[in-house]
Amino acid sequence: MAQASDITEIPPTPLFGGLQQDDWSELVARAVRMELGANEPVFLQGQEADAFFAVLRGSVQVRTATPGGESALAQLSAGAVLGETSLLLGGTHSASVYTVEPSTLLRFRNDGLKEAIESGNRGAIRILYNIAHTLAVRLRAADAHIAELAKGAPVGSVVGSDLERLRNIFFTQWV
Amino acid sequence: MGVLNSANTYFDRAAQIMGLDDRVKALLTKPEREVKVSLSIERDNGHLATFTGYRVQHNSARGPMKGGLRYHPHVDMDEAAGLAALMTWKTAIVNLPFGGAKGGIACDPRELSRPELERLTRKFVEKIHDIIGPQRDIPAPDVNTNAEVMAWIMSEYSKIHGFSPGVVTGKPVELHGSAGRDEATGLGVTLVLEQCLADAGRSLGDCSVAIQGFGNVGSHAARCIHERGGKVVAVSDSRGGRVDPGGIDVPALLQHVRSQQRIGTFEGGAPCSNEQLLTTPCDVLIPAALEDVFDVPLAREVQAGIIVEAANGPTPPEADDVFREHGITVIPDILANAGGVAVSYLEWVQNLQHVTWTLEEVRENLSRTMTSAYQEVAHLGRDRKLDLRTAAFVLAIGRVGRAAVLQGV
Repeated sequence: MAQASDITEIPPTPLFGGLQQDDWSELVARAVRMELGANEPVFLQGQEADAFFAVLRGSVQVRTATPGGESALAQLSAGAVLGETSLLLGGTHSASVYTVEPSTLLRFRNDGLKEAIESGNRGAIRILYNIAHTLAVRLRAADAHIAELAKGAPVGSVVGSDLERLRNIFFTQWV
Repeated sequence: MGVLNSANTYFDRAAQIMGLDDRVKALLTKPEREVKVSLSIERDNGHLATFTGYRVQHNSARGPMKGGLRYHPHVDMDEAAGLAALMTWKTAIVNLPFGGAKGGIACDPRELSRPELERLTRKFVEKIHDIIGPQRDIPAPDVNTNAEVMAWIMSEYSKIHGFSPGVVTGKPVELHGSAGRDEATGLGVTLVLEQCLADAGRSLGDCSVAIQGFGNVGSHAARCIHERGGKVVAVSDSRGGRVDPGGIDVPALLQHVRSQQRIGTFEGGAPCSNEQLLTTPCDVLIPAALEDVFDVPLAREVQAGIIVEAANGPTPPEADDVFREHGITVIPDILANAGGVAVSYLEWVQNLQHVTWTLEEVRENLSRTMTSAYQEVAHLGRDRKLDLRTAAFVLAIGRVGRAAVLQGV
């Protein structure tokens, strides 16, 4: 059976940006590799959020329960990370995630990573920094969005969000 | 698959890694301007003939736009737009202060006399002079256009706007062209190869090199590699080639090709087909002729450890995957053959400053440009665990993206 530690290449996603190879080897040893078929649940809305996930292959759909059934919020492909805020906030998943096609994911338990952070593990601290950075960027974009809404601009005409995201991509993640 | 389809696949791969969505991709891929003009001239026999000319200006975020002008029956807006975008990425990779453009005239130049070609070229300038210029868009030679065509463009443009040698590059040396332009792409190929080898603790002196294509690029690459101590073990042109594991006498071969116009009759080594050349045992393979030369079965047979893409688009994505699986380092076309546009930039700079640089000065400058471009791509590749091609596109997209965002998009 394929092990998480077989994955020697660091996935090219901002969450793992700046990790060195030996950091990755230590981290991946703490992860569980999930090989799922099409339309299988990764996690369900309301379940305890005790881990986060990286999509290595395939694609997944984020769905939320509505009065009329489930509605799809987004489809994410290889490189996407799911549930990373749970590392900071815990709680329960606010949406369900299902595979769209046969997919490979890595599951990182929050308590294992917290333990690694507390023991000063360089890779785990880097991930924490990356999550904090992503959240800060999202917060800034949200602030811009709110500022636009406050000016009375119609929803959908917000100019801040795309540009903020571009600034983040071009001036922070990919400088 | 074709150069454009392959390049689009490689662009999309880089864009996905960077997390660019369709809105951002549209910002980066849609041309700023597409111009189509009708060009009527009087043929030598007194008949009128009407042709269509195109100029696509893809992106000016980093500077005036730069790109070739080709005369070919297949020229159309889609092709020009795709190639213009490639010029944007190429100029960004080597960090020239240019954007990308491309254009041409749909015609078969073999059916036109020299005076007819001159009239057609001047008519084209008459129609597009207000959108080109040293600070706007600077055409250069491409398929079936040459230094003489550039001289006509400069002449016609200067009639309207005053003396403007910087409106085109690739001009004759006697008419404000630059020393070193002929060898620029071949020398650039050699320079990036040297950097790649140096990163692996090697040098040209301990390398065997096979070169497919012996036109301007392939022949200058062979000469430069030979002069720097490399052993050229195989060369070919469209009719076949020669292979000699002990090393081909490159100066003798260059002299032979100058007089005989073909490699096949050269006496050194043994004859080989183009396919045999691509799979011959060697350290470095340089495809310098055609697009799509590798299919998957052929790619599996390649024995070289390094491929330097001197030609445009020699490797379709499925063959690229094979090279990656086999651990073969590919220096992508968009970086490897950028020496031509790099020296075009030097010609433009000389024209703007009204100075003339020596061949040594041009070579030194080109060396700095190509060396630094290779190192930046390789560093990004190592840092982000990307192959050189993806890293080159990521570097280019980042540079263009930053320039666009800083100007408020």
